[in-house]
Amino acid sequence: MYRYSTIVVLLVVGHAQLFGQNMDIYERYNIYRSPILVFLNQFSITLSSGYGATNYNHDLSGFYFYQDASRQVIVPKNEESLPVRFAGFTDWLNAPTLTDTLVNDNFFDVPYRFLPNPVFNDTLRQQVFLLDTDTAALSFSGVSHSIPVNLSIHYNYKEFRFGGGIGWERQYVRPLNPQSFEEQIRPYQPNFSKTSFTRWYGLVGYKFYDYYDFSFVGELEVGRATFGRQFNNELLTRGVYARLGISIEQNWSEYFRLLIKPSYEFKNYTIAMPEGMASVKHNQNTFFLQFGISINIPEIPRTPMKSDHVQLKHVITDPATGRLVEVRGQPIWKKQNPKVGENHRKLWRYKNRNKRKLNPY
Amino acid sequence: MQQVIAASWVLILGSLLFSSSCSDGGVEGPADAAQDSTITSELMSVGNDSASRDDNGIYTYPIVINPGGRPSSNGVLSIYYTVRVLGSSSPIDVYDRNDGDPLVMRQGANAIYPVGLDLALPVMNEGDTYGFIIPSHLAYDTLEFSTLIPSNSIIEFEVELVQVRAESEVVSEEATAINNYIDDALLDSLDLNPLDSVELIGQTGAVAYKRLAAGQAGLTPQQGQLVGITYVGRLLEDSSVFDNRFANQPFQFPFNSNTVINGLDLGIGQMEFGEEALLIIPSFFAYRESAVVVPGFLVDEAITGLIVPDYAARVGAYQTLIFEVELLNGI
Repeated sequence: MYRYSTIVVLLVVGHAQLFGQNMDIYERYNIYRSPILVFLNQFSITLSSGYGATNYNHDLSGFYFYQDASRQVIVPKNEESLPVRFAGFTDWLNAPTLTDTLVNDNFFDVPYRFLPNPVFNDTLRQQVFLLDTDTAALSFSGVSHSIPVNLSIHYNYKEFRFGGGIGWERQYVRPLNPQSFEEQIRPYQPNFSKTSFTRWYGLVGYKFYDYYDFSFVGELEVGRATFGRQFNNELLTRGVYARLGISIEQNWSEYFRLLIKPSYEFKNYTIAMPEGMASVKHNQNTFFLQFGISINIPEIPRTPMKSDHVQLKHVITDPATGRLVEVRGQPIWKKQNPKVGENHRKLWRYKNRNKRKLNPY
Repeated sequence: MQQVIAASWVLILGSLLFSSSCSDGGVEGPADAAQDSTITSELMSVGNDSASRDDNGIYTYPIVINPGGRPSSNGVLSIYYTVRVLGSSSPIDVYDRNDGDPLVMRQGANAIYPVGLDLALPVMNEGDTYGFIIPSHLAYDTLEFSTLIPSNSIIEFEVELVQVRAESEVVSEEATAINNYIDDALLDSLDLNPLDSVELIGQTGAVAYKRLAAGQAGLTPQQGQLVGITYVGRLLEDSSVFDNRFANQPFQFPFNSNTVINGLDLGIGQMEFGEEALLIIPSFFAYRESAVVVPGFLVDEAITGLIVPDYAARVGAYQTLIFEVELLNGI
């Protein structure tokens, strides 16, 4: 008890107001704080995950599009008309591959073989379809789903934040539908069902609005993405991507936040045909909805004394060093300087008992 | 109160299940029911009380009955017809004796468009004349043709069944016609055609092969080998050209790989590279019952709509083909 008599309880904010000037109370009272923790406290670390919907879209201008019963092929337009026998490229979404020789002909015309049960025969829908994309536009589009995981760190300066991060995304790819000739052209079926992307990015943000415990932060991420092995990276040209989002953060304490972050990413890549004759540009824009937590490393530790039940931030004489140190009375996810009634636990066992109350806890 | 809510949910779910089972169970939808109602109203308005409805929703009524006539089911039929949109005074098409030989088609081979006509024909015997009223989904459905056939039209056919033959009879008749052609064209005359006489290849209704110009002796195509040919294709019945390929764009295909009609593979198999020959191919080795579109002027729409194969526009049912072929040297 004698030892506790040396405890000086100071409310940091209260003292700042008390002295009415920008005096560093830590210097004034020789209160020790770890400079490393004080420095690290300026940074926020955010971990988030959620859902992503990627809209793949590409235009096939400058190609012949050929479809038969088993494959879809694009052929760079080097000639005025497609020869009867030709080779083209499949899998132009991720890894273009040269086909063997194909025949550009109508297999349901003379003198090709007879078709039994000819009326409404399903085979008719598999007949060769050829399109010159200079005479009729053709593009494919489809939405794929993904699960992103992001880890970022940013420095807080007033309402601004600057930082960077790394992201990983598992994407489940779905077929891309033709945007014209839907009756004749089958959806483009990628030759892989799932892939992954890794991103490195820098970010800037600005907190533009506060509402009770909530903060609204506009964020811009700019970075580069590396594609999974399902993509032929030798044929791939990719630029930087940009992502705009709003991070809606519920501030549980000055060290801990929950966030929900809708964002939209602008990304594209170009994939060249193996012989370098042509290339296809793919738009890969993605909407993300992510949930996560964001923490700041506290600049002061919890009190080392078990019998210290002070709820607010306060200063003690460190029993180990004899220095005055500022300590916390709360875990990081709770308000550090709660007012009366705040931080009280809400017990489920009281919920039923208080069910007729407005707030049934 | 909760029991009432639970019972309400059971009722709602039950009614949903009942309605979905009705819609999935092949019971007519509202559109079909409306057309059925339209047909019965039309029949009443014209005083037609002899029409009966079959399981497909097609109404049939006899106009001329030929007792003891040969049944039409699965036969090769020769018909004349008149077709109109139900209730319309002007027909879409009339095909009668003034237009020439009757239209030949095979019933029950899924080779007649509209499908409803194929389904209705078995009610007839040779010599009968019947009327059929076919709801749109078994007629032309959403296919339109100028102002003659609006989308989702109910179609009325009047069909005279002139002849019913078995397929084997047709094959036999074709063989006779080929022999007659060979005789008439003096193909077997070595004076006029000195190289060879006509050779018949194959079993049923054989392909006739006649060498016109010699090729490289002993050099014949091998199984799977890519070969190039030029040809002029004619119909035996009237010598009209139905297709051709010339030297500037020869037709290439892997020989004897089930790519082209059997008759062509059989004939090419007899040829030497550089040779010219005449191949007379009966329908059994060509397009058999083909696909018949009624009326015929709809065939292009049916091809575009992926309803029938493209060859239906060139070759009718059981037509014998004559190919004048050159097997090209080296492609």
